[in-house]
Amino acid sequence: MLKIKGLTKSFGGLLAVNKVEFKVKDKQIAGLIGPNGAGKTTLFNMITGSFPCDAGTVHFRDEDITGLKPEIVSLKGLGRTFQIVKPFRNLSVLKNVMVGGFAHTNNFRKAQKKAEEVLELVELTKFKDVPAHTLPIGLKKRLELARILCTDPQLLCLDEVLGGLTNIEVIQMIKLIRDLNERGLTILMVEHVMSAVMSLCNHVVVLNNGQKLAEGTPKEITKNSKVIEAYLGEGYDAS
Amino acid sequence: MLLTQIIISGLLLGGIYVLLSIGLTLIFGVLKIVNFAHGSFLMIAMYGSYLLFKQWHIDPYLGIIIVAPGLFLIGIAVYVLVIKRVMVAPDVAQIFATVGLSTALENTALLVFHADYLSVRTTYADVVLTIGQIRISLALLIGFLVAIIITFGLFGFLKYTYMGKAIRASTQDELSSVLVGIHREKIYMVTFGIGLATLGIAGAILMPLYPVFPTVGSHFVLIAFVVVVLGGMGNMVGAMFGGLIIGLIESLSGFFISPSMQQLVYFVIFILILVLRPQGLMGFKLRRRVVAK
Amino acid sequence: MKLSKKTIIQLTILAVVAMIPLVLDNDYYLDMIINIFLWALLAGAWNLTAGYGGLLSLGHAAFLGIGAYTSTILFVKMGVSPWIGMLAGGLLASAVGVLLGYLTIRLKGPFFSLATLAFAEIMTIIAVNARGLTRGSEGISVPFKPSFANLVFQGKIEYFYIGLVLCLIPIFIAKYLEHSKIGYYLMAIREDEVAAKSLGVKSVRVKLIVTAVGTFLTAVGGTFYAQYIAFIDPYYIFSVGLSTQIALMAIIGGMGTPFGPVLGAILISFASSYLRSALGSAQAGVHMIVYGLLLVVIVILIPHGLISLTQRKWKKQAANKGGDKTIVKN
Repeated sequence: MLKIKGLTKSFGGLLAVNKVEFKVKDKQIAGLIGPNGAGKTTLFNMITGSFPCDAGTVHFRDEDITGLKPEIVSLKGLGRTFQIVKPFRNLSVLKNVMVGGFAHTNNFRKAQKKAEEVLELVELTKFKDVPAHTLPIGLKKRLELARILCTDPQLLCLDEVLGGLTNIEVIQMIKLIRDLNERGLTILMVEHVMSAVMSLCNHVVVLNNGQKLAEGTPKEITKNSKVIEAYLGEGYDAS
Repeated sequence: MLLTQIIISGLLLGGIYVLLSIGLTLIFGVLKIVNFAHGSFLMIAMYGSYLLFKQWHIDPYLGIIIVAPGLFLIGIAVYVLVIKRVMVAPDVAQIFATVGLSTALENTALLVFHADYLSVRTTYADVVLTIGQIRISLALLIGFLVAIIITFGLFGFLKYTYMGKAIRASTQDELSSVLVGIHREKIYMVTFGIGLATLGIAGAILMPLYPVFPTVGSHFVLIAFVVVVLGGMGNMVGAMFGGLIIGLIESLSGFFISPSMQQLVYFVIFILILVLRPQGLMGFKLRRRVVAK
Repeated sequence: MKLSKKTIIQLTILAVVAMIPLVLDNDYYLDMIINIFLWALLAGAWNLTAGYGGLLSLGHAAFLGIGAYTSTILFVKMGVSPWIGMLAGGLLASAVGVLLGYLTIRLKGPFFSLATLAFAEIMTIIAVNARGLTRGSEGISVPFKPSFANLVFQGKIEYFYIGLVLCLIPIFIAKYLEHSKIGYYLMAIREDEVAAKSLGVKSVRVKLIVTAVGTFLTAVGGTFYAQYIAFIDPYYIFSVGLSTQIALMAIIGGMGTPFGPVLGAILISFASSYLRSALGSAQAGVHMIVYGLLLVVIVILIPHGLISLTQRKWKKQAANKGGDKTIVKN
């Protein structure tokens, strides 16, 4: 589904992403982990078109999308959420999601109906007329997810979607992600919450200092000594 | 040599344009606000200078002692009453608060002074110095010298005094400057005051050279904006280069093109810069303040 | 079709307004109302680009001028009916607006405004200097040859109805925007452009569309102005003062709402009339002083415009009925 080759980006003198290469297969839940500053969000921004790439290519479903603008990438089926949520603050929850709903239709009724269905799916229906800025962070994250889901993505890139959530919220979100994957959605998630990564992901890529450190199943990478040294720490149990 | 004459006149004029624009770029650099009323305050300074001369026969250059602090105080007042309240507001508020202010001020001037062109005729106003083959108007030369002195004075202030350093710190990293104990409100207030004070001086040195009328501000403010955008919004050194360049361009184009088309040259330059290189000549880091992603 | 209470009230007001010329024979008042229609059209058009599109233009008068000059030059030099000229002017203004918009699209708020200001000044200079085309600083008069085709009329009634229809157009467009894809996209862009793009919103295209519509209507207003006032002064028609006045009405009334500009136009026009009669013609600039100050005050204290004062009443009633929960617990 997603193929990244030789992606490189510098900011001034800093080489943020250095020839990163990996693949995400259809219907996988892939995790992108690594210490802070490893270049994960930068990589995300390069994949989704928010940052230009100095070098390398991004192929989405065998189509070269390198350097395409974010709105085009999104319409092709590659959706993303933001690390720091960006709700349309003064709009209601329903209106927020409807913006996503218009991605593949011009019809108001259709967009509204689709938005209502998605709200149902993420269990936000009772908040549909509430202004987005009044929601607590956990619900804002769910709103952000609902919004991009409404655009019918094939691949969903989640940028630390579990950040700032309570334990209960994390469990709820994990369940939601698993449900979405079972419905056919491929997922690439940047995460720090290791329990989630271990339980959800069937494929993990580890980034450090802008370079790919390791790639494999969760079990494999927790046993990888380089990963342990750079990020996980000793005594980490993959179960 | 005619060309040398044109160039020298242009540079002298440019020096004055530097003074005209430096307040604008300073205010933008610190407060991040584009002051659309910049021209109106220049107009106030010029009327102030004019009145001092008319009523009490105070020479405009001497009048600086009154006009500059006067404009400084006006700046403080405007900051507290208006600017402060729109700093955290959306663009609409920032733009139209200063636009509204400008409209009100210009029309007040129209009401009080009518549309007449008023001039200051000092005894030495018509003196023209002749150095070799170059003829220079004394008023222009004095204006240039005052402008240069004040500009360097301002640079010195910013570099060596505590307040100056605090102001510079605010332009570079606001959060850090707050953490270090710099009182942000005070900085904004003082900066705005200084910005208007420079206009006070600019107005005073312009009076012997130009007449004042209610919309004189609009004429000069466009020049100020072109200078500032050319040099880089928020960049003081840029304003210096920008001012001199624009002065030169005005002088040259005044010779080669008809006066009415002269203005066209500015505006076209202005739009070209905004479209092609919005950060101006020197504003490397400031691109993000002018252009959205 | 179910008509809400609000709609019925609005339609009634419209019907009443439409009947005014049949009842009122006073040219002075008719003239005032026609002016209100013109301002409402211009403020409404600006509102589309600035209020809904978020593009705060300070040079909108440029498009007014383009419309006025295009239709008038075509009429005076080639005998083309101003109705066609209106369309031509509108299309020309649209094209220019889109081009200018495309070039300046990445400029942030105040810098975009500055660019539009510069553009308006450029137009003034061109108009004043292209003497062969525009008769330069003298301005152009529209010849008085009354006929429908010439869009010149003896009396005020025809102007009244044309003006009425024209000023309704931005209102209908604004209302359409509130329930349409492009309207939602514009709202999203205003709230958070980056987030909007991540959802597939082609922000450049959407902004340019709303620019094209806004400038088209402004130019149409320009033609109407030329035909009604019968004289174009290049120093006035492109002026910052005029642009400011248009923007002022929309802001004071309420930007980003369908009726805000109309409210602004009505209030400012009445205020103008009042000030003129109370202070006499000697104090010509006073109303502008008042508007300038009013603009500052409104923008600071009532940023959503005066119309938001009426809306708050509606919202409070609705909220009380529905049991509004503004703090949500998990």
